[in-house]
Amino acid sequence: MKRWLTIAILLFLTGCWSSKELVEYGFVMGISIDQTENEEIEFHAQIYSPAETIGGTSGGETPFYTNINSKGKSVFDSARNIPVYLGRKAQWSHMRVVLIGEDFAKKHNIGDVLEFFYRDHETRLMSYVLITNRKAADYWEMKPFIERTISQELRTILDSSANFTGKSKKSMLLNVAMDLKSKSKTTLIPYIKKTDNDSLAPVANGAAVVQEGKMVDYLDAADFEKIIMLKNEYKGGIINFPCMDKENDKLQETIEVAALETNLSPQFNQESLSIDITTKIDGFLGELQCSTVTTADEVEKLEKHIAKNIQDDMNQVIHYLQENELDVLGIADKLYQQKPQLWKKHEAEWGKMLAESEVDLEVEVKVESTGMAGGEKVVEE
Amino acid sequence: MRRQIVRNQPDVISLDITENQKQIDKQFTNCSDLKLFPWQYGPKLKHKAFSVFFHTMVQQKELNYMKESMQDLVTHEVGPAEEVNLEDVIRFFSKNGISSQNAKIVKSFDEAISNVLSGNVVIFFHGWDQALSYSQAKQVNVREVTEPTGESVVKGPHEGTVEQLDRNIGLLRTRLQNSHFKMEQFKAGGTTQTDIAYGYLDGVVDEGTLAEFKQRIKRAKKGDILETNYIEEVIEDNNYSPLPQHRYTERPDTAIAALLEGKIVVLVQGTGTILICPGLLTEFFQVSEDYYHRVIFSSFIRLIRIVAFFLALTLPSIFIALTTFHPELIPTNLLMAILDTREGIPFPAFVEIAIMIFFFELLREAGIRLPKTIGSAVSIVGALIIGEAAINANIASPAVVILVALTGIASFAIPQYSIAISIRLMQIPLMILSAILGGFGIMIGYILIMIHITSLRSLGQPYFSPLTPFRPRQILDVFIRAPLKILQDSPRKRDKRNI
Repeated sequence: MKRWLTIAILLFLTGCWSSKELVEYGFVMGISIDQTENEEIEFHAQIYSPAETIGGTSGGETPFYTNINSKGKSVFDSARNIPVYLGRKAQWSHMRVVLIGEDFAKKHNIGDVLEFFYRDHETRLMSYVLITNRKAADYWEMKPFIERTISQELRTILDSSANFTGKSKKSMLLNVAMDLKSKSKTTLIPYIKKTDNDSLAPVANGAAVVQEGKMVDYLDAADFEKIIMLKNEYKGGIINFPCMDKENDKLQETIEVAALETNLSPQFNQESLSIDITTKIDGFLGELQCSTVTTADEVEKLEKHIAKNIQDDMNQVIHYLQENELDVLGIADKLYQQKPQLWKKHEAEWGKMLAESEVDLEVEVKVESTGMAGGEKVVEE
Repeated sequence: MRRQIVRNQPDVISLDITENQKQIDKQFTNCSDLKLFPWQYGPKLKHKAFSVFFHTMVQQKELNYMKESMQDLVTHEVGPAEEVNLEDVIRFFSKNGISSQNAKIVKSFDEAISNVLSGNVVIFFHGWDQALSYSQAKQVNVREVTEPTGESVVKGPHEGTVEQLDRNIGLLRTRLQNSHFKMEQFKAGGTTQTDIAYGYLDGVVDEGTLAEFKQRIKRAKKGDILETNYIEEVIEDNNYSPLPQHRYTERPDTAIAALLEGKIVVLVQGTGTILICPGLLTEFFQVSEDYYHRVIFSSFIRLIRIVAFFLALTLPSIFIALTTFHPELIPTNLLMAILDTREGIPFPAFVEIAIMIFFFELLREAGIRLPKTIGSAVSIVGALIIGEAAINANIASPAVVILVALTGIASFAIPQYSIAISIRLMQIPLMILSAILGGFGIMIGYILIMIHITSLRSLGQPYFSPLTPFRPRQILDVFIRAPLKILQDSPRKRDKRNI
């Protein structure tokens, strides 16, 4: 008797009665947030719309998604309104992307609108955050090329460009929150735009710099790449550099990066700040237009040449960041972690201190091989 | 119909042959296949005798045994046939005189009856209170030794047991030529009077287990026994458990392997199934063929069987839990694929799977009972028409059809049929739990199953050993199959064996 009672309690007093069939849900693939003229939030959601397959054949040309829009004072309000339009409960756990319109990001605190996604138990912090050139809602009109929804395609665009080109990064809701909550209060959110005004192809291009919740600046793809290198988040990609001899300096050669490691160590003194950065790059030559690397000397020369090029580019970016007092590299957090007393002292005029800091940058390049061909151009002129 | 045969006559063989004849007539009223065959012998054929037998159980051409015996008698002992008298017969047989046809002396009437019933020819002589019983003529058509259909192997012996107890014991003896191999035999069953034999390897078998077994097997004397399962139910610990607590085999080599591990085997006249007890859960994943193949391959197959076990047990419930409670755990692309197939299905996932499992079990059951020629038609109807049509009619989604089929196949991959069906039984409560509580329900289900398994015993042995209680040495034969060098040299085994 006791045993059966225990079993019954185990089974029926647990409160997990949230069973719902898949067909009762509408799976949100992505949302976009814009502002309307009268300062309301314009909320769009892309919901996955299953194509009913009977006997293995899918039904014609109907798209795999439905777009829903609503306007309201808060995101949660709009989100809760989805069933009104859809007839199914919204399921957030598979949300691929959150698109935020550039205009909105410049005027409002992103953290405020994302609050719902951090607080609700159903959402996951794996969704990617993106800032869009112009209005975010426009991107839902695009038709995906390969994936079933544009949301999924945007996500794979970010994934692949982060993994293979190094020109973008995966900024999940979680990273955005952590960065904005950190001492530097600055994060980089990938920026997408349409290739040209009429085009229906999105492209990941550069990053929006978000400081204290608002978008304050835009960095182009090349700068973004350098910052990713400096933050030691570089996954892989290629680096272009001009020819060594001055005559051919219009020609570009490339090196494919196999491994990149950056060591960033700020030195905190009472009144000043100096930052030592060393970047080590291992790579293979990808394209040779003018150089010849057949001897060890030539290799060393080329390595130095590449290193100098990268170093120049990086210095430029760092200068730009210093001028605009953008702590994208998260140096404030390092200071806070290492010397919290010092941080308290400098917290008020941190931007100024960053701008005046001394940066010592060193880049080492190692050319591991010349690829599948020798150290000369494959086809001689 | 458990009716004890009532005997009110004294249990002796009368000196008067007509009295015996009457008794037999009375005992076997309405047994049309009983032949009672009176004859005379000796000088001027004045000595009376009769033989009695079931003509359905003896070979007619072998019925000349008596003549042959008499001829032997004549030449050896007494001279011309006309001069044989009762005294000669008695002297000859009671002193175990040798003749080409050996007879057994029967001393009581009941024994005579039971000899007749077991297919012997019994001869009564006028003036002798004993009878002769000949078993050589016994001939019931039996199946030849063939490959056991339920346990066929690629490599290894292809012999299987038959329905005759003696031949089965012979099959075992030829493989285990050791005087420590004991075989005890007795008659059991109230009405059926079935011959039952149990064997064990003295010195290897656990004494306590054997004593327990002997204690329990006594209970088999009452009920009727037609098959080995009748014995199992009598001796097993928990009749209501879904899990089998004893193993069966029709392969002599499997039985010998079990004997060498210290098991007790039970054989029953009239069936080829050998009962191996006690049975442990992990043994249901072992096949004799594992030891005939290379170590790596056998270990790989073992692991596959264990995966199959968990698939068969939980795959449907995991699907239900994931789709109805935890859609966030499904990878997005897979989820989209499932969504596409689920759209338009009018049933909840649980009902959908339950319907398909019901279809599957129905087809399986139909396939077993039908004659082989029609059986293939069932599988065609099942696989092609019902499977395809269920999808087209939006009763089931392709994902569920794949899942149920995979579950079924996984359960067939487990070598012992008895545990395969028990898994299929257990998967249904698990499905219900997961439909009510999701992943949490599966967890509860697993806990309940584990509680049951760990508390179960087979002939007093813990059912879940060697995992709990943990026996590290024997683990080497559970998930993998260690080389025989390691398995057989286990010092524990060697010490125990004492042979």
